[in-house]
Amino acid sequence: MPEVLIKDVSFAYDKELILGGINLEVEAGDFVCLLGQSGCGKSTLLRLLAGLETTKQGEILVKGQPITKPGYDRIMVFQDYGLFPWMSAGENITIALKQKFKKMSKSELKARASEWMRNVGLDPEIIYDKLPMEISGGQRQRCATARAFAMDSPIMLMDEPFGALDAVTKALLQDTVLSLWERGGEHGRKTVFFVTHEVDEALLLATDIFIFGQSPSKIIFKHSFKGQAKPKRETMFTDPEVMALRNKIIKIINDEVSAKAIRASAHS
Amino acid sequence: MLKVLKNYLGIILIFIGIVAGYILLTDVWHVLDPFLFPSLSKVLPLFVEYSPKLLEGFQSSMILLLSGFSLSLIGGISIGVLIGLRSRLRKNLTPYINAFSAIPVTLLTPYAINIFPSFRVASIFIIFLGCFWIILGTTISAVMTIDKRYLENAAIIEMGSVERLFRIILPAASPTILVGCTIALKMAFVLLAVAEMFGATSGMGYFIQYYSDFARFDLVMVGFIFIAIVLVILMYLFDCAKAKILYWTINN
Ligand SMILES: Nc1ncnc2c1ncn2[C@@H]1O[C@H](COP(=O)(O)OP(=O)(O)OP(=O)(O)O)[C@@H](O)[C@H]1O
Ligand SMILES: [Mg+2]
Repeated sequence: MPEVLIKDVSFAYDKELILGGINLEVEAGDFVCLLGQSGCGKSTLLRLLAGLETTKQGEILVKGQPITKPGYDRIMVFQDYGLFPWMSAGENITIALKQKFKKMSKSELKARASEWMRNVGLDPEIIYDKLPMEISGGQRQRCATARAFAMDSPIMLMDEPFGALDAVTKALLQDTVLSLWERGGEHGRKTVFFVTHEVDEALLLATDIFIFGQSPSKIIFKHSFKGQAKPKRETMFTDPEVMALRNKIIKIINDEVSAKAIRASAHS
Repeated sequence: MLKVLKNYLGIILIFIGIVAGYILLTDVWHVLDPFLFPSLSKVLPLFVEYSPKLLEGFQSSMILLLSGFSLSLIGGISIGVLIGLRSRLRKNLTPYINAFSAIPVTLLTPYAINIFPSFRVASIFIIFLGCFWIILGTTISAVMTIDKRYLENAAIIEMGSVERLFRIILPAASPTILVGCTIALKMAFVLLAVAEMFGATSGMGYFIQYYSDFARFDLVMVGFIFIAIVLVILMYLFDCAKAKILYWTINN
């Protein structure tokens, strides 16, 4: 049984159909990157997976069970707003932990939060008691990442978590996420859904890449690195095979953008 | 010490300017009617003479003001949160809230006196009601306009409803709620004068009312200055509390 099965899911906010029949099968431990142009419904699919919206057609099954609401088997990392600004960085982690690990004492919660801060490269001695506004954007996203991993949910939903960061910080955080994912948790590797609009980020992180088409969106391209070596940061730009794939993906996305522009002008 | 002085330099200069302006307009140029605007040299000694009476008035006014204001704080925030969170309830109640809050509270004094057992309770009710509508209104819109992403973030970690109320909803709404509270506190002072017009035997508003009936405008001026000083101190304390609550916002 696949870990996550998305069966013919359609979704509309009002009348406008956003997702038009999405089908996906994801195995436990897959690192799925969702690519597609802005507005195609990537965040919408993550919100459905998170249980923040409910499907109107089709179904999403996690381990065979349909999603009806948020649950501890899934955790979301938001691009922004991942931390409550009125709580310290540490408290932002412990307040999440204490919902799931109800039996943990205050000091155990704090110890777990500090440990995960260290795991993502934050020094809890310095960061723990700081407010989100008192730390940098990169540190905030590290903190949100620490919070998500600390929850140890088998499924992680990440919506452009590093979209607002500079290239160097982004690269460091990608490496952090990748190594934590490779290390795995109590139940083995986590299944990750990672939304991005950067092809290189997807190539670096993903075991499986899916590209969304538009209005209403369907999956128009799939690629899996399973059974072959994943691209590495050091070698991917000199690997002709990876570069060919990269160009192909870029072309597919660009073609979709222009096809949409043509459709739009035909309508008017 | 020097730093403190520098910090408050602007405030001190404006204060000196106002005092100097008043002296110029009264003692020097005689522009203002000396009967309505008595010279400061006459007013200031009266402060000392009437200080026992002013302090007595301060005490009884504070009882009215603080009970009325705290009741409106509790009532306005709790009912406001409830209405703000439930869109059905909000839809059904909004016309009535609009209708009732539009009635000037001061016009309700005859009813208040009639309904409540004592003048004091009636006065507290007047202050309460005036502040209540302001705090209720701002709390409702504060809760309504909380960024949904905070609520979603809380939903994702399956936060319980009590914790969500105290750790997410109230903090997220607190900047706007506190704006309402500031306006309500000033409103409480305005209503104090109204509330003390009936049945009071002492009070800061009563003091002014009483001497104005005797056309003692020198003492009325004493009363004005005293009320102003109390208001400034109270607002200062309130701002300190506000800064404590809003420690996490950027502009403070
Ligand atoms: N709450 C909402 N109500 C109505 N329409 C919405 C809502 N949220 C999103 N939409 C619409 O749904 C479509 C898909 O939005 P979504 O946020 O899923 O796109 P996205 O692929 O994540 O884009 P981006 O890369 O810019 O984040 C957009 O056209 C958007 O206008
Ligand atoms: Mg998005």
